Amino acid sequence: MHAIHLGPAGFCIAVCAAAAAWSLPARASAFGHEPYVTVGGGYFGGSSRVAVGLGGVGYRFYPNPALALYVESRWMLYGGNAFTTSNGGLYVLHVRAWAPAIGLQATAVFGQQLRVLDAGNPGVPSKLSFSAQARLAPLRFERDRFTAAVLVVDLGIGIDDGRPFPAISLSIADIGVRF
Amino acid sequence: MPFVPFAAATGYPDAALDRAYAAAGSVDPARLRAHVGAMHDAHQRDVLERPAWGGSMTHTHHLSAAYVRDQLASPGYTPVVGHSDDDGLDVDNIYADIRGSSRPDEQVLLTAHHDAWWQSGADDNASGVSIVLEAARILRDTHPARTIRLVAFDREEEGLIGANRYLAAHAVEHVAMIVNMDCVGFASDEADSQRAPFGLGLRSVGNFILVVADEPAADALSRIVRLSASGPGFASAVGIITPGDSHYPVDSSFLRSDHAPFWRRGVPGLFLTDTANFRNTRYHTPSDTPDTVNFAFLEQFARLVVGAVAGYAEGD
Repeated sequence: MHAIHLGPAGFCIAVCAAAAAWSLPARASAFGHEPYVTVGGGYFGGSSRVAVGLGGVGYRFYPNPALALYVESRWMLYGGNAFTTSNGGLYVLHVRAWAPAIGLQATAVFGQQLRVLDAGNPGVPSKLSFSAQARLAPLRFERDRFTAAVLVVDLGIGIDDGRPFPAISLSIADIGVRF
Repeated sequence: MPFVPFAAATGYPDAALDRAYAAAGSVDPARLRAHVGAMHDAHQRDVLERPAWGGSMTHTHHLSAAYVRDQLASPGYTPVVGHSDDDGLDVDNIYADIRGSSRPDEQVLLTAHHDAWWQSGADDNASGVSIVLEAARILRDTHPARTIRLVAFDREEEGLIGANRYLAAHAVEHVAMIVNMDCVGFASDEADSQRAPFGLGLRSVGNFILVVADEPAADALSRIVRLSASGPGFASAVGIITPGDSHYPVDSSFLRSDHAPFWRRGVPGLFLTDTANFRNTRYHTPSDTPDTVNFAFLEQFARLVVGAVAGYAEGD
C-alpha cells in the first residue's frame, strides 16, 4: 500500500521487495516438529449422523519451511464420546511473521455419535465415517519457535452410506511450539 | 385395516412379523379416542396438588391411576398397583403382565406415565396411556414368547419418580427392553411446524414419530423404523441412536421421560415421542386438551407401537 505514494519507480521497488519478502521465510526455520492445540467448534453432520466438539491436539512436521504435514485429533463430545482424526498437508507462505496456510486433509470420524435412521436409510449407520476437507488459515503467524493462528477453517464433505454430509470445523485458536 | 407387508425388509423373523401385523391391524381408533377423553376427564375431576418444589403448577395423578387400573381389569387382567409413600410422596405405578409362553423371565415393558400438569395432559400423556391400554386389549391372548408388561408410571412430571421407584422395587435383569411413550398424539402437516435440538436436523414438518434408542437398542430401532416403512397404516418414524448414559450435552433432550432410569442401568430401550415442546406449543399448558390431539396420527402411532412390541416379544 505504501508503494502507491512513491510514484512509479517507488512502486516497482516496493513490488520487487514484496516479492522477495513473500518468497523467503522471515526466518529460515530450523524447527521441524511442532505439537499444537486447537480450540474451537467442529461439526460433522448430515442425514445419518451428528458429531459436535470443541477442540483437540495435533502434531505438525515441516520437511521444509513451506510445507507442513500434520496429524490432528479432536474430541467431539456433544452427542457422545466421539473423535476425529485428520491427516493433511499445508502450504505455508511467509511474509515476515505472517504465515498464512492452505491445504487439504482427510478426516475420520469415529466413536459415539448421534446416528439417524429413517425410512430411506433404515439400517444402523456405522460409527466410522470419512470426509475430505480444505483447511484455510489466513490469520496464521510464526515467531521464533511459536506459531499461532486464529479462525482456522476446515470446509469439506463426507460420504456416509453413500450419502454426503457436511464436515466443518472452525478453530478460534491454534497454538503450537516448534522444536 | 389390510396391510401389504414388505416383510423381507423389516428385519423381523417371519413369525414375529406375522404377529406384528396382526396386532397392528387390530387397533381400534375409537377406543384410543375414548381413553384420551376419559383420562382428561379424570384429571379435570381430580384433587389438585402442587409439585414438591413449590410453584403454581397443578399436578393430578390419583384418578388417572384409578382409570388405568380399572381399564386393565376390564379385559381380565389382574393389575398390580405398586404403591409407595417414600419422602411423603405417594406413588401409584400400575402394571399388568401378559406372561410369556417360552421365555417368561424376559420382559418387554410397554410404558407411559399417567400423571399430568394443569389437569390437562391430553398429549402429555393420555395419548401414551391410550396406546398402553389398547395394547393390553389386543395382545392379551396372543401368547408371546416373552412376557409383555404394560406399565403406567406415576409422577413422571415431577422427576421420573415413579420409574425410579419401580426400578428400586424390581430386578432390572429381567427387562429385555423398554418401550416408553411420552407425548405421542400431536402432529402437524404445516411447514416449519417442527423444531429440533441444536445440531440435529430433523424434518421441518412435524408429522412423524421420533424414536430414540440407546446403543444396546440400535437393532430394535432399525426394526421399528423398517416396520414403519413397510406398509400403509403406520406412522412415519425417524430414529436416533444416542449414548443414553447422561454424560453428554445432547442427552438432556432425550433423557426426559421414564425410559431414562432404565437407560442409565444399561437396559435396551426405545423412547417414542411426537417431540413434545419441539412441535406442540400447548405442551405443559392447560390447553393440552383432547381437541388438540391428532387422532389419525395417534392411530398410526398405535399401530406401529403395538405391532413393534408384538414383534419384540417374540425375541431377537
